[in-house]
Amino acid sequence: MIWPYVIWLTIIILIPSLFIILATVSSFHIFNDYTFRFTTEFIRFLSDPIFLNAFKNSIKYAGLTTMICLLIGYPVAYFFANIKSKNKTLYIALLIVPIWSNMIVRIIAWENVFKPVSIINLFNLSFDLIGYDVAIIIAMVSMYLPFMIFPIYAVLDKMDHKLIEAAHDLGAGDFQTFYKVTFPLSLGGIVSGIIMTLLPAMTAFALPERIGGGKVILLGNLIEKQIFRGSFNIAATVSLVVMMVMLGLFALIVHFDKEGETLL
Amino acid sequence: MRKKILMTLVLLVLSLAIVSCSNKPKLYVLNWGQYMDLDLVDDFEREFGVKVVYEEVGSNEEMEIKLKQGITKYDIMIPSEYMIDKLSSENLLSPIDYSLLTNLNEVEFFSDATVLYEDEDFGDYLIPYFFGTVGVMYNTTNEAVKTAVEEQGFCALFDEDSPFKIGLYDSPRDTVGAALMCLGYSVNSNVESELLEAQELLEAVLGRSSELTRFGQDDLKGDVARGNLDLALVYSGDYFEMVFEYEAEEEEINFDYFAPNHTNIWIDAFVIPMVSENKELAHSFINYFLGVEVAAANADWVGYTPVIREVYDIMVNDYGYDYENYYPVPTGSTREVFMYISEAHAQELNMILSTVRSN
Repeated sequence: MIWPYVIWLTIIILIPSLFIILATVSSFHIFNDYTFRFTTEFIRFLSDPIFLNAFKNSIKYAGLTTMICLLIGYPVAYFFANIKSKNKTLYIALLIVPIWSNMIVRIIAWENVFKPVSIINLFNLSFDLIGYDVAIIIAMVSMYLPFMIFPIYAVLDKMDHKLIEAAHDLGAGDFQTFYKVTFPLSLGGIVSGIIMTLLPAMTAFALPERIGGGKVILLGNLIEKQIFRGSFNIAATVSLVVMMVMLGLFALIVHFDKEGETLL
Repeated sequence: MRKKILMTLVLLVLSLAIVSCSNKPKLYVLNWGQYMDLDLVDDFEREFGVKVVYEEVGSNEEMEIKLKQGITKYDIMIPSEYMIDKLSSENLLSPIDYSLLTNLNEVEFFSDATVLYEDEDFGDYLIPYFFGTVGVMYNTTNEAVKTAVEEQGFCALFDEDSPFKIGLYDSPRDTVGAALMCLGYSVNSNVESELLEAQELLEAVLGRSSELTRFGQDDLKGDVARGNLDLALVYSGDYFEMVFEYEAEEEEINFDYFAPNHTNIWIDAFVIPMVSENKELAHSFINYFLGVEVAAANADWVGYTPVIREVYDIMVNDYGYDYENYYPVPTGSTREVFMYISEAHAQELNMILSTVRSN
């Protein structure tokens, strides 16, 4: 019974993807009157400073965010996986609490904190960071950190402790045990965490828009702005690039992880 | 047992479907956010025994996309003049049947408003709603900002040596338009060299330190009022909205609005799309909002300047709207309206804003 899945795939993924490809290589437009003709405009756009800048920004902010999330997230996940408390589940659940509130609300909250006149004036503090990289990175890390912690925590928590005991018995020190046993076994979680963080971060648009003072353009912003201003062709081109990057990352993972463990 | 549960579920779904599908005729309205008193819409629903399905968007372009998607067959939309020009030239609007608008006989539109569309091709497709200007809202705490704004006009927004925190509108038409007017060109300029000059002006002001210039939309007015920005490009109604808000909260007002002598005037108007399936009801809706009492209550709620003289007088005399700048066309001022020139021109403005942001 693979049919329902095939129908689903066709309607939800295949047809829209074909539309995007068609809109990239032709004057195809859903909303405007147009005369159909093929165009190679997208080739020129791929070397346009507007596109290159958005691409560079996406890699930069998403890359930095993912790296910082990993640096903070791994120790946190390690800590929670190893605490011996009957409230362990509660502590982990508390990490999810921020995700319960809407992301837009959290973005606007950060935006207001980074403006000179804000609620933190009550504590005699005042930031003036809108438009600066550091503000965008802080906000992005706070948004995506839970997505890094959970996959790593899940792997570390499930890990067989006998392996660590065995390592100790065989004479490995704490660091050596971590480096030779724990870390390699948690790689699956790390890869999942990186995907879960990197992909949404690359296509983020509300966050850089608000915290970047409308001046920091990522690929997501470019798509949004071009769609709402009627440049269907350009929006489709950028979407196609994003899809290719994601497929590329996906292919990499499949290549290194033939059993598909990391994606589960 | 299973069958019983299934039957109950089916019945439940069916009854829900019946409840939600009342026999009342529906009127689909597409409008900007915060641009109509919804209590008045409720009154209209009760009076006419209809259901109004009300949707909001943030820009003219979004309105255009929603209409062209064709998912909802809108009966009423309230776009701005240049978008009405575009939509009517694409045969997407249906002409107004003035004989259905009985309240028209009771009111007089300002000639400063009617002159904006009367002689245009799209003049027969609209009934005006509100009008206003684009200008500079500034914080009055620092006397130097006021001086700069009054001396430089729109150029105060694009001064690369300015020490002030400046907010620009994230809309190609408005921001590029303000740059063009600072340079002394027409807001509708389609001259390559003039557009390039405007682009260089934008690049210069964005080249300042990161926290000094930023783009925004509805958030600009609040930031100027609170002092997070010194000055910003806004619509006149943005400013008035802040004034009313601060008056209601009895807070001190530390901001003002300056409309340069040569500025853009805009007019938003009711239109009835071609796809409307209930044109008669759509006319009734427009007619309802032409009634002086309803229009006054609506104008008080919205805060923008009504185009109807009788309503304006009520606002000024009875509601206390004797604010400076409330009337958008003071004697002796130059006001220029946006025109829809071509899709290529619209895309060029779009590209200018994208380009200056990628440096």
